[in-house]
Amino acid sequence: MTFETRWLAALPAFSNLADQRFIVLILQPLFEEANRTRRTLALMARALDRQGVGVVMADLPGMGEHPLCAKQVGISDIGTASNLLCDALTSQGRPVLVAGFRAACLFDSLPGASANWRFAPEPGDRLVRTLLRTEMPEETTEAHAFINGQLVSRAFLDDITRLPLPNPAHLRTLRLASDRAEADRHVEASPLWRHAEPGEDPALAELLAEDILQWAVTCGIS
Amino acid sequence: MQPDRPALSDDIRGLLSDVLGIAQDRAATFKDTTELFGSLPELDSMAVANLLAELEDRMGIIVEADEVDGDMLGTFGGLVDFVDGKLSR
Repeated sequence: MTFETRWLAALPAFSNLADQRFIVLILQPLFEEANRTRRTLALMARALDRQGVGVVMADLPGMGEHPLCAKQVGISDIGTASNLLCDALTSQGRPVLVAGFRAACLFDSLPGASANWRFAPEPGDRLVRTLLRTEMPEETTEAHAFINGQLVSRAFLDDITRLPLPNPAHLRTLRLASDRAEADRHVEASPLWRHAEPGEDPALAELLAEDILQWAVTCGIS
Repeated sequence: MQPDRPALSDDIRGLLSDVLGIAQDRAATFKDTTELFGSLPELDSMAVANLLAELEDRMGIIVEADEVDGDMLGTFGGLVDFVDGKLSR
């Protein structure tokens, strides 16, 4: 199918929706990590598409092409937008598998989703630790931290620090082999989200797509 | 079990290669005296943040803000010593 960028549930989304048997909703990493992983996630989306799977990769509030800037975003904006998008997709009558990456997994427990799959989930406190290491104090205000060239609400940082990773019912987790945390599978690859420049890993994209497809079969939604 | 220092040095060479995007054969030449922050153009402030986060993930340690200084990031040997010390605690 052809991918196009269009608006879905008030979010700009890269998608191929037609009459596929189920839909994978990709929740991209937050902030700069999204830029560093986007090419690989797009390759993964195309690999899923070749297997006849519907794919939606939306930009959440404050991220990517979304018109709301990070300065204005609270965690409720991201949670509400994710819920509305998943609701819009499930209302089409096809199962939705949510594929969460990094700290986006904090928002991946969505009503109506049939299964969850995660890659390298990152707790909110770890995300904020890394973000604040790049804070520029001279540009910072009482209400906002200047991080990676943009202002981010301190209320958002405080809230996401305390946000636990949810525990949806049908969940599979993959991590890098170099990551000590527990997972259902550890895979050999480089942490693209840490790289100085955006890159791509076609082999990883294929591996992740295959694992998602297998998980969909296991969960009976394929 | 804590890796011995040569093994730890190899782990950190691999980590630097991954995070900074430098070739593995170049990272393999890093010795204890090899200068890092201020001498490696790839290691800017953003890369330092990612390097510390990746160290925490891979080594299972926590790096506090007041522990990041010239001794820790000045040379490859200083970085290995720092991680070695963290793992020994």
